[in-house]
Amino acid sequence: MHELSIAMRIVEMVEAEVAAAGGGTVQCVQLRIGELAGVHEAALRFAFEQAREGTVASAADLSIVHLPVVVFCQRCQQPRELPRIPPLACPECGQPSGEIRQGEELELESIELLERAL
Amino acid sequence: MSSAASVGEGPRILEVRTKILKKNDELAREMRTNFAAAGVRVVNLVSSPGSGKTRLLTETLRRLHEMGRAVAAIVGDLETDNDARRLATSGAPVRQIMTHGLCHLEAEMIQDALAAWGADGLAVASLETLFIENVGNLVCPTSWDLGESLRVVLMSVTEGEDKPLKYPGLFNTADCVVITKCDLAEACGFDRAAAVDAIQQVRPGVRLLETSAVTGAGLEAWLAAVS
Repeated sequence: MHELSIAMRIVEMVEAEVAAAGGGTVQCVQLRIGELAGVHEAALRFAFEQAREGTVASAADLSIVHLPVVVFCQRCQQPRELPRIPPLACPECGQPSGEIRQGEELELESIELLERAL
Repeated sequence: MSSAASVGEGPRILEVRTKILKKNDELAREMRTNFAAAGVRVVNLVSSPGSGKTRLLTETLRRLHEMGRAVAAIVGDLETDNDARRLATSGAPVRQIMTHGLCHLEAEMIQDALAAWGADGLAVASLETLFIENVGNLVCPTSWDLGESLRVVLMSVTEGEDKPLKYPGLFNTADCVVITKCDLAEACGFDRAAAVDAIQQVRPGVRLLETSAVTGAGLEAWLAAVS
């Protein structure tokens, strides 16, 4: 249940960003999460509901953009999106590749802020 | 860091675009720099519970300690200091972190443990190798950089050859994979080729070692890899 640690970090970051922006109420928090990030969406949503209580994000939604894994195929000399993992291999030619170009993201993308309390 | 991209009607959008684990990543990076400057190799051992981390590490510490090498270990568990006591039979300095429910170690916990250790008289900078035995878990430790120079993922012959396929995220972060408990391979009907194939599917080209802490098989290559 490392999602609780992640949710608490998200709320900490949101509070800092909102304070720096002069305050307000958070309507939505947008995340980018790669398929290899090891984050379970339902667990993260559950944890976020706990972590947001009593903060500027107490009524905020989570919007999550899931990013598939993209590896660079040395044989094709092309980045390739993987339809599933495993294997970490080029879906076109089958060449194994550990050169991950996308899929490990765990990022706070943006915050939708209302100027006044809801 | 953030900038208001739109002001006016409707909500303002604060563009943040920052890694959620930035604080951990930054601390880990700083620790890695400091470890490197002091010449300390840091090895982070990650695996499921019961795959033989403590047994392999006890034997590793014992052998290196007897060879006069400056080694020490930090071990994380939710509760009890049982593993620290097991590891301490090696003669090497050992420190337990009890996470009280947390499923992984974070860089700050390592920093705190090292600071407390320093206050007790252990000079971290004098170590050749610091081992970190992570909390037994194949998911949660994936994203937490501890400032290590080598991340080792262990899997035992008793766990099933397809463990890497079930937990690709963690296996994908391995600098080295160790198959442990090889003395039990035959009794378990362990299919080595299937295991190697599974590892290669999630971490192509990764270094693979095979050990038995009971018979000592493979330990020389393992010790050479970590010391």
